Amino acid sequence: MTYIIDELKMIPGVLGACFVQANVGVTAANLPAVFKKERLELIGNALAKIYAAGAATLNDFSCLSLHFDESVIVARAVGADTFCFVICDPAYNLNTLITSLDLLQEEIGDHSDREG
Amino acid sequence: MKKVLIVDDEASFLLSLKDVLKAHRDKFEILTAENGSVAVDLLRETSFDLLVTDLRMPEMNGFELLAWVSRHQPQLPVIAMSAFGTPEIEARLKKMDTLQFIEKPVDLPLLEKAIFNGLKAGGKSFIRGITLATFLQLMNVEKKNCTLKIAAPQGPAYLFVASGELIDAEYANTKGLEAALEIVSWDDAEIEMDGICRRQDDVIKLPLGHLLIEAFRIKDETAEEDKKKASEGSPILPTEPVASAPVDSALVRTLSGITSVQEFAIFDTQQGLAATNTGVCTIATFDINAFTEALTAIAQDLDWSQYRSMALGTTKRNRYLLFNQPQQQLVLKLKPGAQAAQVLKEIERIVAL
Repeated sequence: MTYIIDELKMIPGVLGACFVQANVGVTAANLPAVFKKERLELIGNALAKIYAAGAATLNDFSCLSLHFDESVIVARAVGADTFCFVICDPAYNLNTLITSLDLLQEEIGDHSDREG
Repeated sequence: MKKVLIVDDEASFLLSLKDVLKAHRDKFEILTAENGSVAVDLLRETSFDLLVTDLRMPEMNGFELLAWVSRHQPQLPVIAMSAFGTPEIEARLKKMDTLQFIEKPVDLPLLEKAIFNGLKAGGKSFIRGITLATFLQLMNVEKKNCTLKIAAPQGPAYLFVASGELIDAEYANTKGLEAALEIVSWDDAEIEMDGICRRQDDVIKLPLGHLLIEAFRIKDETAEEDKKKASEGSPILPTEPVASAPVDSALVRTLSGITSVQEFAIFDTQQGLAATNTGVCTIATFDINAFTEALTAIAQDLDWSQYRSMALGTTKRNRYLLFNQPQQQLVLKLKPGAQAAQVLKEIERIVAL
């Protein structure tokens, strides 16, 4: 997991990323130290609720992004009970990030298939 | 029985339309006219519930007919048909709240649906008679040249239109942009049309769409200030339950004019649906409540900056935007291929105005 989020962090404008697993909490993160584990779990829980609301509202829901004055959070489910969120600078490159998250989703899917 | 008047110079179109609509002869009667002049004769003789008209016709064209309707039957619901709009303008007209617009070649089932909507609305709902703003937007679609004499309670005024753009205006002692901003938002205007633009210089230098948005913004602000002044002078009344804020009609018009926006819904502070685009609105059933609690929690947890908006994406590449504002929440569905970042910027600029 760590190498994946390290790759995400190389995308211009990405401050770091985090994996959150339901009932487990944060499983990997490479965000700046200001984002302590407890804080990431709070963010993760809130995003999980928003993600569930999105999935309940839209049949083919796939990703969400929250826009703040000075940052953007992009979240995407990458498994049945895991999702990844990325914190970015507002000047981030959305297309590059979405492509990377698509690849990440495929990679994790393949990994799960092999394990299954 | 309700009566619908359909005006078009293509006899074959009128025949096929009559044939299709025969199935509803127990619900409404169809009468046809081949040009505006014949239509006016029929409108004088008979009371109609809906007018469907093409814009380009010989003798008296659709604009002259609409101008006549604005003077003599301003409440008559209208469906306009045209083959000459640019995709952007057509999209804007389709979303206007004052008339229904159908592009030609006409999709008959769509027209059938529009007729039912028009009859159901009966001039009381979102479909009303022709307003001056609507009329100007139609002129813009057809890139018309003309001089419009406007009779309204505020007094007579003149608008000069060249290639569909408003180039000059006159009202009382004002001229140019100042006069145009005042005139175009009038509601009860009677329009008289002269087919020649009697000005040559473009002194307004502002695209019609922008001019209309600005004029309605000014109108709404003035109304708001008047309301505030009136309430300041009135005695303090016992407290009553707080009603939802009125819908920002300027915002509705502005959202209707953004071509990247396919649908929009505005929810009030109680998460009640306050307004939507005209036509199909799949996002009107959006459960805003489901998001609000978690968004509030995350905005409180993340104290580093102010939450502004949220974007949702689907595997079918549909994009939805949710904007949080003190008085309302906006939900937008973007057109396929629209750049969410650009729309975000545009909406933020609008709501900041």
